[in-house]
Amino acid sequence: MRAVYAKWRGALRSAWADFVWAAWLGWQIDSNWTDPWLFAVYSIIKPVSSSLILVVMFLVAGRLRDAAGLAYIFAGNAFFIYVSQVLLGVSWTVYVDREEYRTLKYVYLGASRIITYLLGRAFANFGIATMSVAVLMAFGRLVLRMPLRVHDGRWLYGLVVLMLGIAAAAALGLGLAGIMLVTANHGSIISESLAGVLYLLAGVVFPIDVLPSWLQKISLWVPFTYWTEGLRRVLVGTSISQSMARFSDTAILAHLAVQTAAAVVLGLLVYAVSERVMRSRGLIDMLTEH
Amino acid sequence: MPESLDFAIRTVDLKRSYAKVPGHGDVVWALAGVDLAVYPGEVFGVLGPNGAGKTTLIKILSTLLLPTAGRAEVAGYDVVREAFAVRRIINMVSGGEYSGYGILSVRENLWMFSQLYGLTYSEARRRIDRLLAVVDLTSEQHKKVNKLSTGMRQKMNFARGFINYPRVLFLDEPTLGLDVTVSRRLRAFVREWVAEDTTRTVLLTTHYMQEADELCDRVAIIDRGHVLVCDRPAALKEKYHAATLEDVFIGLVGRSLDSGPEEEGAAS
Amino acid sequence: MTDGSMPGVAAGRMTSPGRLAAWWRLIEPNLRAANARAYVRIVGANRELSWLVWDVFLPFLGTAAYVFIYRAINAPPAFTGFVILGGAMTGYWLNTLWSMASQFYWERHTGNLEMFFVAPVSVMSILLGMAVGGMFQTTIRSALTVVLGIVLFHVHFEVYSAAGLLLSFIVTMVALYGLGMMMSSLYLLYGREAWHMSNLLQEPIYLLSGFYFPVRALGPWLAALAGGIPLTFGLDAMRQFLFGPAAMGWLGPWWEVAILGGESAIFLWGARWALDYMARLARQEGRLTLRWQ
Repeated sequence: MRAVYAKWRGALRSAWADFVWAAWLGWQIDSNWTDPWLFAVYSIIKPVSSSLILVVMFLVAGRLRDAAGLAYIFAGNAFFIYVSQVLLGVSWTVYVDREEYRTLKYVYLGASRIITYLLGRAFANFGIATMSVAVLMAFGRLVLRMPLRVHDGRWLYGLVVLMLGIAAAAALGLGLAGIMLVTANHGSIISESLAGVLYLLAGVVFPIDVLPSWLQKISLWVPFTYWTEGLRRVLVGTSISQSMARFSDTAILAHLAVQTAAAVVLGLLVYAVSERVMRSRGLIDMLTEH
Repeated sequence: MPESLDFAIRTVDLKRSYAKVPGHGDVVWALAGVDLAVYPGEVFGVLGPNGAGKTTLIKILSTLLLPTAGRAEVAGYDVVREAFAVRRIINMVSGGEYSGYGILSVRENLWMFSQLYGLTYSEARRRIDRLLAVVDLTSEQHKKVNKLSTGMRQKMNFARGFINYPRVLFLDEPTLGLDVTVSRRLRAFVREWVAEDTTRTVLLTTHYMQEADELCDRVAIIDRGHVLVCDRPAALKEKYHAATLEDVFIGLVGRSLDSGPEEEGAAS
Repeated sequence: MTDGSMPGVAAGRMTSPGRLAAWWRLIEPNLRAANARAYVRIVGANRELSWLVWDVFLPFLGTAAYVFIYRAINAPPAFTGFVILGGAMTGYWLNTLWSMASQFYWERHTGNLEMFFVAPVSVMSILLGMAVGGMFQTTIRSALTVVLGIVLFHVHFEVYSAAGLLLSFIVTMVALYGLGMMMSSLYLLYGREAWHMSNLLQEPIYLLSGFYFPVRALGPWLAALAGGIPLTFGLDAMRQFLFGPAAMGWLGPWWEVAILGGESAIFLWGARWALDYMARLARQEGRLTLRWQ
């Protein structure tokens, strides 16, 4: 028993070391092209812009006074940055390491825990997302006067929901990384496209009630639908979605947990199958730029 | 227009420095005043250890890099002021590298590069057929480049360098990483190609002494950006009572070619 | 290239047919180079048909999200058309940023950039080839976005002036790809810094150029600032030619076409100047062949 414990402890310690190393590398690659101040500004301009698009859309449609409606989509949009950043961070490493730095094969040779490596490389993106979300929340509350705060002191609930969604994004990112192992370099388009699909299906910027009924059914199989709903209930205090109103807070959490577990299985499976295809076809160092 | 075509390549007190650390004043001299004269019809070798300045010299002559001081001409054209004219008559092969697009076939890649020199389709086809045969890639010509082995990609890169039948060709370690048989075949082709038309010139950098001995009419040995000596391989061996060019180098600088310079700059 | 003039042509010693022949000798290799570079992109895309999924169908779903926002807040039907038009034009902006401007970043990594510079053609012809090849791919994406918008969201385009629409589209493309060429010069000198600049120019430009709403909503100063990006006037003019008064246009559409014409000239001239200037700097600093920046 003690031997098993020691073995697990050793493995975890080693995985942690890999993760920290990969996170350091990811941070260097992402941020060392400029000074930290400029990097911080750069990191928040994009998400602030995408949120302002929504505000202007409300403005041109004459609905800017609908503070609750605006807060509903603003919060969903802000927190979705986690999904797009983590998806991108975990998966895009494959292209960058394979075709730009040409180190992917050495990573495979050196690190038996490639998955830990990919997750570590995404940690910088997680940090950027956290910074962006914080700025957006402050902007929404202080500048746009939206009712954004943790309602009824439900910090723990909000935190659990948040972490589950990030885990689901990381798992799907791994699946995507697997697909990238066997496909040509399309830049960040693949992860952005998948993020776009999830953005639509999860009703990030609208209640899913406005989707056609067949799409609503698919939405209920997407973990981020429950994720955004749970976060909104905590941050806006209410939901304007009739379809989601039938779920209690506990049901939201339960659905999210089960679907996150499913995403983890799916992500690992897709990665494993893709990796096998990559090895059988000898694609680890292919160059596909055109 | 060139005033004189006596020289295929001529450099006068050619210098190039790089900042040791970008933004700081300290510099390292990759070329510290190089004087060379290469004549049409010659295969001219530039020998030296890593960091000696060979690649810097080729980059300047092929218009990719500006010199810090001094003058360089290719076929009478100044490489700084008349870069475009130089580009019409040169090509370059860097060993160990392979340009091109992985998603295209070998033949398509060669055709793509031939179009940078304005070759008609029929002329491009004729030259590609010939060059594919030279590098023994005829049977692989329709294979996508990302499916080729490293050696095959390098052979394609070698063929690419000849696609415009350049008057002056720069070969920077062209056989790096290739096996002995292939290297010998490529060397034979270089000789044959220059013999075909005596206005053609090849400037070759290598640190394979055997290659230089076999291929070059004359060689210049450079170290730390200086030309130490320049003559026919046989004359150098005779002058320094050496059996090989390697021994000549050791006799001149007191260390072997493999040891590299004491301080490597950004020269190569 | 400034040093690419034909000896004798500038001196005016030739007869007209001789001069024409000399110019043709100068232009022909450039056209061939452009054709060859376009071939790479078109053939490359067709060999990896996975781009149809990632580059066409999935981005459409992203665009659809904006349609549903307007539906959720009961905006007028024309607004759905704005989103579809914006979604269709998004591809061209992404193409300019990633497949034109930043392409030199990848070309340097693959060793092709130095081959382009060693060749006796203007680097603008290489960029022209990239633009034409990229436009082929993007036009398929855009056309499918419009078709799907019409079929799925019942977008109704009135087309107030077909000629105006076509002209505004063409002149937008010329200005846009001219801007892309100009931006590509940055990549001769910089690596990741320029890459991040392209990355930064996505969402902020969707906002400032009014991809999903009439740009007039931003107020005259911001809209004027955004006018430096050709898509601002391009989208506004196209919206006006397609939706008439419902487009809530900013300036008159023909004025916007005229401004785009001016921008085209400025950007193309600027691209030529910037490419020459940056290439010289890059040669000075030895950055044309510097990788992993």
